[in-house]
Amino acid sequence: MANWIRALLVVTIVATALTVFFDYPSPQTGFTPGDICTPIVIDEIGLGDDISTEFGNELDYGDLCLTKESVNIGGDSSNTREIIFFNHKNKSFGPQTALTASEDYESVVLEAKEGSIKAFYIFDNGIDLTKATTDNPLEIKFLGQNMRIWNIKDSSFTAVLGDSSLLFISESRIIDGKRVTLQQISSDGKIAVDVAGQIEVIARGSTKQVNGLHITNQEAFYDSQNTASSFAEVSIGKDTFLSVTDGDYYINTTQWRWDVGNLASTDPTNTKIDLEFDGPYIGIENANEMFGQLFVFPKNFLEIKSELTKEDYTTVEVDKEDLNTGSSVIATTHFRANENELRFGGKRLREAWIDTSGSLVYYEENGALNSISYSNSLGKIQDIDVTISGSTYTLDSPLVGDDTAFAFSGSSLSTATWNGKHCNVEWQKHKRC
Amino acid sequence: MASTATWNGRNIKDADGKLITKHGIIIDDIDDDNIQFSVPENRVKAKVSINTN
Repeated sequence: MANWIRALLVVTIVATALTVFFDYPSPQTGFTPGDICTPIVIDEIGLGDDISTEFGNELDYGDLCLTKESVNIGGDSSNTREIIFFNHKNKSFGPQTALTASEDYESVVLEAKEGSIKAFYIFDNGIDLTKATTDNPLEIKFLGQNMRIWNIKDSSFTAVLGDSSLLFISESRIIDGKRVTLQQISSDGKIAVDVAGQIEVIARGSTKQVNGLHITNQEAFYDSQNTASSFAEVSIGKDTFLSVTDGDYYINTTQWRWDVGNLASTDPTNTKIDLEFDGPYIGIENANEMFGQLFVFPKNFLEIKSELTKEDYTTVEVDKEDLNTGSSVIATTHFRANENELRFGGKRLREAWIDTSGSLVYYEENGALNSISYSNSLGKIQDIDVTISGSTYTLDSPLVGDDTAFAFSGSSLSTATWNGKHCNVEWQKHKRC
Repeated sequence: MASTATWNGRNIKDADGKLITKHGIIIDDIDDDNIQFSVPENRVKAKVSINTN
């Protein structure tokens, strides 16, 4: 008999839930089972550039498997989206080196300034979120977790994380290694719950921490004819009850913090690159400057990682060398590469000697010494232009603002600069620039 | 052995391959009387992936 009633009740509840769901006018549905989303996106980012130069500032369900759904509160509805946002307010996130960044990095790393990686839940239609209550909460899926939200102020809210489940009287669940048993339901919807020996009474719509677990009594159905058929919808878990204010650290981490605002606004969310968004937003951001090759969002919701593109390198050493031509000894700047990639003066050379009178001296394949005149443009190493101006050699990258220059004084390297900034102005005196 | 250098007000104790330009040229070593560097065949980039789990 009890099983028959249970089955009937479950069917009734599901039917009721479906009826409620379809009663609301939904302007646009979220993902349907047939939708396909992209779980991963990959792009190549230039060193020193922001990740948004290739990915753009905003990623949503059209780019990645992110939430797209609609929400309903008190008869109002809105299309909603989860987005990943980069370079908000010019806070950079991208591959950096010791030259391009202010930190003394040993190699190329992904550097994320504080607040440069963000995830938001936003509302495409105006909706009054402050109408949300414990009985009629805002229900969203954010960072891969279901959230039931109420008590919404402009930059704060209360929420329960995770899925709810139905428990009949005397039924148990094992959560985080603890047995949770629904013991009783009162006629006014209170529930008595036993968590590994500790018993607490929880009113309908309330949450209590019981023996280390947060228990939320979302709804309780009391059957006066047969108390064994009474049951409750409860949310059980560790750290599932949240009282969130903008700027608070995210759950159990100091790496991420909540970025929440304008929740009392009834305007739709309007994202902005340089300013705070208009309209309501619920989000998180990295709370500290971070660097490394891998960044992982809370609950492993999303990860961002990098590796360098594989390239072949030509290694070059440059110094001053007196070259004996057979007839005289001349002072030169000596370039020596590990392969024939010095494309100087129309030749493909492994070694070249540059004198101060406009001659480039090199050995022919037969061992004969030869020379040709050069102008300001000496040639190329790979696709880098090598130019001479006075005694200064410049490795001229095709990128604007990425030139490396050096010069010798006598037999000593006197200057080495990147983008005109000295590395060794007073090198000889102080071993620094 | 590499010299000590300061760039942009920061003390860079030695080049040792960590001075990398936007193009990807690596300054392998800077000494009192020579400079060694490596030039990539193409511009070096970071291949970044964003993965929803």
